[in-house]
Amino acid sequence: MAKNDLSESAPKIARRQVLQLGGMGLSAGLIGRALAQGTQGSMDEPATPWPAAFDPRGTAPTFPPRERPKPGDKIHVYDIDVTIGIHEIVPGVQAHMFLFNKTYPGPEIRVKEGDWVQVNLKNSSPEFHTIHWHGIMLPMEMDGVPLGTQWPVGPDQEFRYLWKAQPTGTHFYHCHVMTTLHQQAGLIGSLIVEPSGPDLVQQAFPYTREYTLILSELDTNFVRDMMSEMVEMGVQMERMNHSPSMMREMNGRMMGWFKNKDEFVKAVKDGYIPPYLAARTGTARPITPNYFMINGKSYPMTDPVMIRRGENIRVRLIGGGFMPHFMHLHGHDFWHVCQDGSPLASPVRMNTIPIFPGTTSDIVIQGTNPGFWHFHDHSDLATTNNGQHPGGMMTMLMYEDAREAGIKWEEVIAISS
Amino acid sequence: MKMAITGIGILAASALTAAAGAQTQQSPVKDVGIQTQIEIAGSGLSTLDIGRGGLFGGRGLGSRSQINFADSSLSLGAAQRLYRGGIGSFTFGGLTIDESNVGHGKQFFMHQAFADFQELRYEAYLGRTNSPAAQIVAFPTIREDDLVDFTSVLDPFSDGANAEEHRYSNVAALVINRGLRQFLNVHAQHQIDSAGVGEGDTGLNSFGLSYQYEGNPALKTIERVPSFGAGFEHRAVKQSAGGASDVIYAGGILNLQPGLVNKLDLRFLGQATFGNDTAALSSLNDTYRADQQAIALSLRKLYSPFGHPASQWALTAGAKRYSKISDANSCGVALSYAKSLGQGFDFISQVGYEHRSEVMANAFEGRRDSAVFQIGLAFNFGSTFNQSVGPRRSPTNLLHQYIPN
Repeated sequence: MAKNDLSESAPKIARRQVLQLGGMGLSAGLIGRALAQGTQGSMDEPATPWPAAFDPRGTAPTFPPRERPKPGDKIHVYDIDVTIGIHEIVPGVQAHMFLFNKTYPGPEIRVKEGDWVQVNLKNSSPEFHTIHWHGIMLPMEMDGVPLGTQWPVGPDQEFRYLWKAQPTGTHFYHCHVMTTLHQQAGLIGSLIVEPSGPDLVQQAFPYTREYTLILSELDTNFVRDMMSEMVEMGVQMERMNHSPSMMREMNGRMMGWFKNKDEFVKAVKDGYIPPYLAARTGTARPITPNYFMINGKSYPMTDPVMIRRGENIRVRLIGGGFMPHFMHLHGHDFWHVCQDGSPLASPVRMNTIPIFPGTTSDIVIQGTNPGFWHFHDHSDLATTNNGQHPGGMMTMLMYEDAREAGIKWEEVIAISS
Repeated sequence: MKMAITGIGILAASALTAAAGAQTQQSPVKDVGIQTQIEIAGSGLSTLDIGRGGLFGGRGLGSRSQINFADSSLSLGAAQRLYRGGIGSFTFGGLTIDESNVGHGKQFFMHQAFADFQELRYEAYLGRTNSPAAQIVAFPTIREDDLVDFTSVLDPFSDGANAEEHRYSNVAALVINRGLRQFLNVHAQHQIDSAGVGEGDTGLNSFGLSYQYEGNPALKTIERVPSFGAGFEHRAVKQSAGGASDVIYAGGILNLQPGLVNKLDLRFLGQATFGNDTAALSSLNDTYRADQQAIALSLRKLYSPFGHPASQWALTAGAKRYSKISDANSCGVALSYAKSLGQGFDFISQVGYEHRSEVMANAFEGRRDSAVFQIGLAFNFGSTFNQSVGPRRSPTNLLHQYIPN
């Protein structure tokens, strides 16, 4: 679990450098955590009323998406390398995965609204990749859709993304090549755009700690089979690169790629019968997830969410998979404050929040009931590991000061998986 | 079982393949676990055969034509992940044999019934399965026992009524590998003794070892030499049948024209047997047992326009001579064609010819020449249920560290 203690401003990603265009002096310490100097969040602190103004023009970008950096603009530069590695979901269950900088999920990117972000994507895997910046208003050419807005980044190739961070809120990034495989197989990370001005959530619910929970699921059999297919294709192409005669044998249909609809329709007339005949990159069968994860781990290996009595904590929930999840917190209500990055017109009190694929929801949990509480997907299939309960998309809300409040619990973890 | 274009079956063709483990009796240790992985694989193969001289292999039944559904097969496997990264499995399967075509007599041959345990470094299997020698190279004839006298290391205990006896036996083997690419197979066998020339009906009558190299499966159409192997086998033939026989063999595949779309490969198998004193050929068993040297070669042109096999031409030829028997040469040739009509379903055709010199022909009821034309359909299929175990030699396992699940 990506715990973001705002008193610690250590970046989650190896930030190579902060470029300075023009004469404005900058330091890395200024980047990111504007709230790092914030006071200890408390329910007892005075809170400002929630701004409920509704602006029908409100979806317009703050900055023109197609503008270019000007002298003096900050540019945060990140290097992201895609490799194949082994990720352990729970002890004894490993899978070959695509990894951003060798981690699953990928490193968190956290910038302030209006900052420029330059990401140097390097592909050190044998498969094609891109990065889609989900929720960001940016130039089309930076949107990361392969064969749509850019050519996919091939093995040993690099691509430079450059965009201005907007709008404020919880977003995420993921590979957009064969998303059913690549996003599921690890190519996802959180992308937090902090407000350049006042943080409405902070003002209404003073907090010092926040957590980011990427919810996703995994069909280990699908990923295993398809990763092998991808690696096979990649290894073949690497060899074929050294043979002009074999390179001439490559064609788009082999990959399930067509220049346009007409070519696709012609291929069908010629006998190609998708989806009953898979391309080399096609799926062999429907996807059936058997592991459900929070930040790449299944219970009991998920990290707990820590809180203290009287504290507000902000939890950013990201629907990073292909299934909806219904996160239920025991013993508490919480406030739903933001959806897809934007503050709601009015916070909503609830104890179960649906997180649909591609959406993000920010909630504020208030430390009102000391103890040791389950926080899990209430679609119970998702609280299993390979069909065995308990497991899956489940973590605990733990009060650090529960014992001081006279609460005791048995430190027992039930495992049947 | 034979897959005309797409290659070798999922379960039955190779003990190197992670097969599977179902039980028909209670395990001595009753346990509760997740559902066992189940695999089903099959091959339907039917041809209309027209020929003379005993049809293919000279083992015809006097007919000039037949509807041939031999070598159709169905296999069932089950597999389970075990402690410490092990995988346990059991495979059971049968196939139709030549005799089933006539409508009476034996219908099925149990070609697979073996338990297998494997982990990263080694594999052990026990039961009825492919003879280790039959795993070195597969030839692209329509049926795997076409031209079997040249393309297989023969079972010296067989009476010749059932060609599958050359391909399958009861095996106890330990396979040690290096990098999942090089395999050393040490084994004992009870080769099927239908001729009664062994030292017992069920005892071990054959011992040997074989070495096999298998390249990265991702590069099997691209690397010049995707696989090769060699082996030695000692067979305990009765003294009254000429005495013990040894055989050495070597084979492999050479990609003459590597490629994903247009591929031309050469397959070869050479073998030499020695030590048996049989000096006359009066029965088919004599022809398998007597000291001999044989070679088989095959040229295969595979066309896969979009990465999927679409058509295949193959020319397979073999020749044999005997060390201690003169005028006992034989040779054979088969021109095979397969065209995919869709995934797993092929139109198949083959014309074959075999010639035997006079002494050799004596063992074939005097037939010096036989020829056959075959045309038909083949359907190869497979499906996995409750999947929890992956292929052992997947490209990711070979290139990015082995994971057992």
